[in-house]
Amino acid sequence: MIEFVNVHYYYKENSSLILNNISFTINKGEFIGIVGRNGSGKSTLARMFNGILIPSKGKVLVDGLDTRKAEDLIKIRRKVGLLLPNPDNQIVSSVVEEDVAFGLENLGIKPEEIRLQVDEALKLVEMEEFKKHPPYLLSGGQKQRVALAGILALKPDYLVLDEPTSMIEPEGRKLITGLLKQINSELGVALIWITHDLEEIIEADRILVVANGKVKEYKKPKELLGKADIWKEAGIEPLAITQFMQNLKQYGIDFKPEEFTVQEMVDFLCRLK
Amino acid sequence: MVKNIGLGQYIPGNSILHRLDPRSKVIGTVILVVGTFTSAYPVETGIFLGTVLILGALSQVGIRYYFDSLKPLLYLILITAFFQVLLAEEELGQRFDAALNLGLRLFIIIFSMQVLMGTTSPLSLTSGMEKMLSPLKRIKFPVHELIMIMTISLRFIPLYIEDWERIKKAQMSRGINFEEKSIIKRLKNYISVLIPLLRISFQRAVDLATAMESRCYQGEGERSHLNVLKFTPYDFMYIGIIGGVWLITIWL
Ligand SMILES: Nc1ncnc2c1ncn2[C@@H]1O[C@H](COP(=O)(O)OP(=O)(O)OP(=O)(O)O)[C@@H](O)[C@H]1O
Ligand SMILES: [Mg+2]
Repeated sequence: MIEFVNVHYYYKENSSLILNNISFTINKGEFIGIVGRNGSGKSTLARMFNGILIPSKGKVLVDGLDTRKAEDLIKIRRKVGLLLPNPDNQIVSSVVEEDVAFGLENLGIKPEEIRLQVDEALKLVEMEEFKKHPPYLLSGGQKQRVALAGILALKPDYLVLDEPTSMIEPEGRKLITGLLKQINSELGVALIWITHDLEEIIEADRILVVANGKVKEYKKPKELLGKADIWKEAGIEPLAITQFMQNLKQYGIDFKPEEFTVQEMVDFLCRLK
Repeated sequence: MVKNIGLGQYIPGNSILHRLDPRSKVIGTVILVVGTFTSAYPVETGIFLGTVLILGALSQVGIRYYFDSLKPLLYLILITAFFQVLLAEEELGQRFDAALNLGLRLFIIIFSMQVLMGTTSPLSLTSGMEKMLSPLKRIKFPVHELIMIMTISLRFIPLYIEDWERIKKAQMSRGINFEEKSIIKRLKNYISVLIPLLRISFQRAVDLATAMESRCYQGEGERSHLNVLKFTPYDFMYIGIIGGVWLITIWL
């Protein structure tokens, strides 16, 4: 369980609060979406889960460990992985497998053990055939999967994803999105997924909307598709399918219930045939 | 094209030399360089020449590799030799000898470095260096930090070159001319590339630090390595043979 308890954050003393007294909890295995406008503080929030940033006031507890205690940080970071938007900025080594090994090497783990974990992580992200490659010869999506493998090699319980596909070419996105969901459903790793793309987190258990220094909690995004005000506050485009149905409404064609995902719409239309 | 600019033109392969431990190759190269410097012309120098040529053949990276990367240096060797011939005060015959002597030594030294760089990946070269320099840790020399800087530079130099080209293209499409006649103007235009480059580099550095810390990096500490360097009998043979050549030239 990760607990944010009355967390405040400002970058500089006397400057305005980016996060203003927020509290929430995230359980093991959950899939949480985090949304909010540009500059609302999502990335700042992301960096507090594993103690890269420490609350200016309040505290963050990871399975009971306090991120303010420097001697617990390594334990915390083994539990909480953090994936950033740009894969190029996260890969340390000029050979794929060496990069995936980086975290394990930092922990002083035995070479044979590292080898096993590296191979396993690369297999998980479907990159095992590239293990001897230099990262600069890979596509953006492949590089992001290498970065992900480097985190998975540490066997985290929670994965914080700061817009993991925002800098990836469209063709590479689907694979990463699918892999992440699989890691959640099959390995039980909790996902804390920041995005501007509603489609990515449509299956989330809950969403957190970051706005004006506060965090609001909502239930399943799928049940909120018709609630335009929430998505407006989150700075998120409604799904094309929602817009489509709202436009149909103007012509007197009204689906009930109003909330559909693309797949449900497809199923629905096929049944009409 | 940009992608080929790595440090040290490593040519992947599976020759005997590729499979040697990077440390023995570094030691071998040092012996060759020192030996060549102190060798007497022409017999001893000739022995070293023969040795590096054999190594070149064993490396299996192809004559083109040596030729291409030696070409610019050949000019240097020729010019140096030329001045030696022109300006020295001895008889013409002796001058030629001296020029050839110098040119040959330079050639051997550069060639032996080429063998090292061509058969050793930059990464394995760095880890070899780390191991070899590790005794210096006792006198508080920051070996680990130095090697980490080298590793990260190897990774990021191609990125910076890409960034540079990308920004330059973007600025060109905005009408900035990088072939301006006036040097001052041209410099000014290059500043329009440099500033965004610095901003991007700063972001990269901040992100990299975050990513490294998130993966439990804590400075030196008790780090281990995925690929452990190990001397094999071939390594001892390699050092033995090159050391042997050196001893023979000393004895001659
Ligand atoms: N290192 C920093 N120093 C000072 N202010 C910062 C720093 N990083 C971010 N900020 C400010 O904090 C606020 C929140 O930034 P943050 O990056 O957390 O937003 P975000 O929600 O991730 O935005 P985006 O959707 O654009 O990624 C912004 O106003 C930003 O300018
Ligand atoms: Mg952000």
